[in-house]
Amino acid sequence: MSNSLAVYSLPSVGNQRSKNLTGGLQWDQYRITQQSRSHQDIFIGYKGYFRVMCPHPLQQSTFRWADVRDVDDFADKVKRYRAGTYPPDAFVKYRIHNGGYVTRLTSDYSMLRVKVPAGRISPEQLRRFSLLSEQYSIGSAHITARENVQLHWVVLEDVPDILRSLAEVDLTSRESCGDTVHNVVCSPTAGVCPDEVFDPTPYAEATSRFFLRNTMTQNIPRKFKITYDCCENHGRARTADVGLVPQIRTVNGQARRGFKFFAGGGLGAKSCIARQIEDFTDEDNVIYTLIAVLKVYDRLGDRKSRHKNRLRYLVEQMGWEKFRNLILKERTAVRITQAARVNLDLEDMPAAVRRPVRISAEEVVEPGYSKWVQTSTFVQKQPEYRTVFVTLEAGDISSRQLSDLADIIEEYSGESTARLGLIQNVVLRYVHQDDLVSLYSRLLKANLARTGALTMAATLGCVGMSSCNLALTNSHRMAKEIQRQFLKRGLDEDKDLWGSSIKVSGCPNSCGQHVVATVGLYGGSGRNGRDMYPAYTMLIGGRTGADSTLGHKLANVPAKRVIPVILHLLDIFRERKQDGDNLESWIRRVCDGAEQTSVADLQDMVTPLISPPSRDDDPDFYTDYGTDIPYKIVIGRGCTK
Amino acid sequence: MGVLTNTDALRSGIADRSVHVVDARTADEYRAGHIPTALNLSVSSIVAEQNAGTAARLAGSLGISNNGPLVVIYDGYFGTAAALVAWRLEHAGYQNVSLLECSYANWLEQGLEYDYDVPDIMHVGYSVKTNPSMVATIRDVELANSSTILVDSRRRLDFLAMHIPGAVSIPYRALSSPSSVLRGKDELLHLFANRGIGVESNVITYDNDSGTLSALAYYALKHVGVDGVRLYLASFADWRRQKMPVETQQNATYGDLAA
Ligand code: HEM
Ligand code: SF4
Repeated sequence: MSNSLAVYSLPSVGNQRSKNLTGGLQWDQYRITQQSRSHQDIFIGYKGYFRVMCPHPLQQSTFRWADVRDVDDFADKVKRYRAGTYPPDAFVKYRIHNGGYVTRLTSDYSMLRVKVPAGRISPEQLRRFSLLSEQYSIGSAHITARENVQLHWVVLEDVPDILRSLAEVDLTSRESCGDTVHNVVCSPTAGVCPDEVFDPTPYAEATSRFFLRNTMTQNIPRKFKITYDCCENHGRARTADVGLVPQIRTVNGQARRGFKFFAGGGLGAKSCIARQIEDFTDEDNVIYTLIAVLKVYDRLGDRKSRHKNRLRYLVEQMGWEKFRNLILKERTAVRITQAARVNLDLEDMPAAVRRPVRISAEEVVEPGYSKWVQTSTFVQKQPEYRTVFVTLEAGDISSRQLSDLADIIEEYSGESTARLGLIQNVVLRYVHQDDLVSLYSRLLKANLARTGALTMAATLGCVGMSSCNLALTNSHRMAKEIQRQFLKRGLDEDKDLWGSSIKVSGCPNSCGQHVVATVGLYGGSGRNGRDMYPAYTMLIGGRTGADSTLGHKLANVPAKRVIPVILHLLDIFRERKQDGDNLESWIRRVCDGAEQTSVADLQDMVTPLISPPSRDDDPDFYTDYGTDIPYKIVIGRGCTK
Repeated sequence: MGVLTNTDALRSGIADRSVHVVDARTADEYRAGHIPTALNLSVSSIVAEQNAGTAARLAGSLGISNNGPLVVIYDGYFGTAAALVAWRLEHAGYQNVSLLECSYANWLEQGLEYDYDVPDIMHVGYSVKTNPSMVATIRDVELANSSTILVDSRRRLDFLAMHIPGAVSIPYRALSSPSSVLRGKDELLHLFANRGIGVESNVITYDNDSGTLSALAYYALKHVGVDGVRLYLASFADWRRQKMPVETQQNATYGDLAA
């Protein structure tokens, strides 16, 4: 049975029954295998009736993310829109809600954002993306920074056919964009991270199941992002609308699972680091607290001005204490009036870690192997196993690479599945240490063995001018150029640069998360007399993790000078660093005013590099990467008006 | 006669010697193993000469005549090479031509038989009766009015960068599935309908230069019953050479999204 949505009217809900329901949230625990990860019963009981999202609440049903009715509906709406019987504005809102994003300066094409809840993606799903990217898109797919896979430059009319095909492998694009709960993100090292206290993945998946197609979240004031971290340092809990970090607490002599619960973070105009609602939200209270936040936001959020209505604006307007108290009060009310039950698939380790056997004749250690192990893999908490980070270029992966990767995962990952990472990458876990040499050779053949995946070289870049209406610069290519230069110069090997990051957005909106990077860049323009050139505002000292911080503005750097300026900053750092410093710690002190060198000094030092040459001396300066047309600003309409 | 021949039909045809099997891959690939009884008529040998008679002459030299048994053509992966060989033969007056529904790679995956033998060849004479209704000239494309739909079979990025004004994009890979050179009729009909193409439509297909990609599109359209389809054989390279106008998706650097 699929998740046919049945509404049972129970005119006389007996007290006894509702007691059972409101007895608190139950996380039903299952130990599951890859094949049977399927359970779903979610139900919320309202007073007098309850909505049941499976045929019978107590009967286990197979949960599917995808629902072909969404597909049929999409097909129908496209037809009506083209026939002029569905208002264009309503259509845009509808298609975005269903993951069909607008594409730069055209209504003929769509970007399709497919959510991968908690980032767990199967080889079969990767193969499907491989096929679809070639059939309907540009021969490659884009892996985003929030565990989505995007197909770009898709013919709008083809979207339903793609969705139908995706539904066959249980993927949906529903609620991956728009005014709803976007993909629920989980740290890709959840379950293998040596610092975590438990694996939050099942909670992330359950949260995702709970809110998908939930009437409560179909039209909230604006987008809403939820992130689960594995530990304090790997993840992005403090830059999401709601972020959760696992904690264990002894309550009445019993060890309880729960989370540090953060709210009100978010990047973009008025970027904001989230604040803590509670230092321990018991697992039983997680869904209730989330419901409370969403209800408050839904009720009080600003529905008039789209530019100022993310949750953080409501927090600002109310003041933190008032907001926090309101959430806690709301939660009490929610607990009394509603019962939510969410099944969890709890598995701390894959049911059986398969160590795939292969006949390996003499293994040849290909050049670059040890550098790759050092800069692109990570030792898991499970002895003998490693996690391998496959870094791409700004998240782009070809059709061929997708299918190669699917084969490689089946052969090498003990859990036979992969995770999407948080920096536009793919993460293979449970790789046995003895298989690394052979895995490296395989990845090399597929051109997927880039070094520096865990270093500053792995630059993040939003799609920018390649697809986005609002882009002011070709941030996507900028990120690729930076990464190429770093790898070419072997900067991924420089241990002083580990722990630092570079992130690029094509405009102030921060899809590329530039505000939380050691070196962050967002697109804009500069002017020399009558001539315009592409430029980036450079920020330094931003970071994610336990002490998430927003970057400080350094300078407006012409696009074609970004790389020289970054390299110059590295030189200055090398000259002035102290024992035990790395770039991150040094820049942090500079920004905190705890160094002799100040941000203003750095500004002075980069100034000579950024003054514009005349157009005659250097015409290239006046064009952006990836084009030879002199720079001009061309933008289209934003996401939803 | 249908556009596609399935593997069972081909195997029984091979068994009772009622078909000619043609391998459109290169001579080297052919030598490394092929479907039993297959003759090698590589697409490159045909493309080398644009003359309409070339295909017939080459086929004749392999003992395949234009009024003989069914000719079933296959290639290595996508069906594009096979499609162009089929198209050139049909264009030269061969009546009885079809595409094997799967590629040689699929054939091997299914564990079907192959060998290395080159069959004895009985040279036959050939005659050429060209079929002009299959071709569109540059004039036809230029004068095409709104009732004729131009299908660009190249990859989406090529299309975005530059295409014949008014053309619609159907990358050739959209026509096949992992197991078949042409997808199911329902899926293809959908794909075409999404671009306003129905069985009554007049369609001209083109690609970059060789005609391979657009020949597959030609047969995909025939397969679902779009009879009014023609192939602009000289394709986009010719269009550019003749300095005809083009359309470009502007102010977007989509090329930088490619991996
Ligand atoms: C008014 C319009 C837009 C605003 C304000 C906006 C803002 C943002 C912000 C703040 C993030 C979050 C970064 C993070 O925390 O991870 C984000 C993510 C993202 N946005 Fe946008 N964006 C807009 C339009 C677009 C457009 C037009 C595109 C592309 C076609 C786009 C693509 C992305 C992508 C790829 C991500 C990464 C997140 C994910 O994987 O879901 N955005 N956006
Ligand atoms: S940061 Fe700006 S340019 Fe980049 S994807 Fe977001 S809205 Fe577009």
